[in-house]
Amino acid sequence: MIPEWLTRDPLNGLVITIAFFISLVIGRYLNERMVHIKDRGKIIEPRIRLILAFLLIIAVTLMKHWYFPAALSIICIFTAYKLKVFRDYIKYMIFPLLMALFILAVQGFTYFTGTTEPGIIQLRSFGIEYGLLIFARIFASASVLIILILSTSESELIGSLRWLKVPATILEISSFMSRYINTFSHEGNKLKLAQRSRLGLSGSFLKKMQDTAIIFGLLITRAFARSEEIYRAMLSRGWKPELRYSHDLSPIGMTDMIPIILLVSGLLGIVFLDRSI
Amino acid sequence: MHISDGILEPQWILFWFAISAIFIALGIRIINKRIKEDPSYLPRISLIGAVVFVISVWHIPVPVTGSSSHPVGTPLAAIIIGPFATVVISTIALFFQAFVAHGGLTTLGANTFSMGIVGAFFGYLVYRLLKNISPLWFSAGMAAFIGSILTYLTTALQLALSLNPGNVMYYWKLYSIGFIPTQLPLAVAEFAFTGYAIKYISQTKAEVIDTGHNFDRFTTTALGMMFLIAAVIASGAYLGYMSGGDMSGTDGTVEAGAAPEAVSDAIGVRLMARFGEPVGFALVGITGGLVTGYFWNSWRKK
Repeated sequence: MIPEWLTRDPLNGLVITIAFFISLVIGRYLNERMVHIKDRGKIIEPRIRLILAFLLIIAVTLMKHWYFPAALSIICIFTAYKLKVFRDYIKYMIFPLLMALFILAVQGFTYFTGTTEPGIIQLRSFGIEYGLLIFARIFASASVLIILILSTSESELIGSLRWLKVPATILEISSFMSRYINTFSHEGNKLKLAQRSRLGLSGSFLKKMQDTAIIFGLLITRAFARSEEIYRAMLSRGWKPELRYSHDLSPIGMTDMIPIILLVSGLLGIVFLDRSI
Repeated sequence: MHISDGILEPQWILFWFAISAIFIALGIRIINKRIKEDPSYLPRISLIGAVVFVISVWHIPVPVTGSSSHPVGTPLAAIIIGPFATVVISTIALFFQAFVAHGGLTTLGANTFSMGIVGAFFGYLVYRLLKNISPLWFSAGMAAFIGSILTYLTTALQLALSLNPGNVMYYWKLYSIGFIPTQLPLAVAEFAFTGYAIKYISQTKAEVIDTGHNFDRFTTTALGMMFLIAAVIASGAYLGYMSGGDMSGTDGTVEAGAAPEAVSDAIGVRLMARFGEPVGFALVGITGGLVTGYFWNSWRKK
């Protein structure tokens, strides 16, 4: 009475059914939220976005087949296109891809086991396979990270760190650093322009290095002087070393918890499927 | 060259996070202590951290290759604010750098170890060793050169350990060689600009440079010995490998020479078989260090 195919190993059937229906619920949920929120990059709460990105990257590193990370990369490319940040996405991808190509080349040319292909350049098939897996993992992880970057501001990130109970000292230093990185970067560029207009940063290598070092030295001494002014300003506003960042933030609501539970279950399913093939 | 997400295997992600967390915790402790003594230290260290971040993403011209690249920056930071504070600053900087797709979130521990710990501590050690016997610019330059080279050797080792655990030494050499065309000229550039920058700062605002009185004598001696012994072991292993050694490790020799009648299935051996030798050795080191450190003062008094 029971069809023969139904009596066999149920693993793949179960996995695909669970993955499909979880994705179905997530898809409907995301669509409902999209209707109400104008800024499409912000449909998920920043704290959840950070945790999800971290979990996704961990899940990618656990995968043993290149096609799962490759599928994730395609989804990220599509998301970047839909969020209208495709140009920035491409710009940020350059560095991770260089690293991925370097590893692919090392593994492809030098892996110890695997058949050696005939030809002028000897390639190792296992090495290429493993290199491709690493390449796909880097591509997918970097894509996830870049989508996170492009949809989360620095202040939201620091807020998320507060919620994750990161030590107050790190939070205070991070806040100062994020506030002054742009200032010093701008100041450094001004110094560079000033030097160029006075025939600096040209000539021999040593001369260029000397000019660059003067800019860096100036920036450091200026940072030192400015920190004294900031300290005086902090004192005038009633700051004391005992005043630390509060970790009390509004708790995550149940409506925000639903996608995290669903996505984590989906991720676990995919990792399980990947490792059982 | 920061390691991107997706490269390291999960166990290595955890391992490098655990090692870096110890140094970060120590760094936070030292920073908090200094903030208590001098509250203006907080904005000072943060602003200098911001500048170091700007410097580390600034393109500097690289000789031979004719291109430009980012310097490590941590040896320079260690000279200015001390190595432990540099670990904390570089962790934050690497976190921000991950958000311009340099490095990653899961590799933050590994990148902190190579850049913030190895680069800063070895750079600082070289600076302190050379400071009294050579000109300031030369000691700072050498600190940057050694710090930069060791950072990339550590990155190569991290890649080899995670990607090719069966042939770590071979792939360490291979990755190191792969980095040489860009990183060796970059280290030369880092030598030059760090030397000039420290010379400039010492001439214009000498008080900016860290005086190095962060630790008591015990801590300084312990850390000095740690780096010295680690350097001897690493150099010995590398030289042994270069001269064709089988890299079978010293545990066999130690077992045969020091403890020939040791029980082969004792709890330590079982733990190591279960969790892997590095974790077993780390547990032994942590236990031994904690017990010795805890009772050190009372033993000294006796």
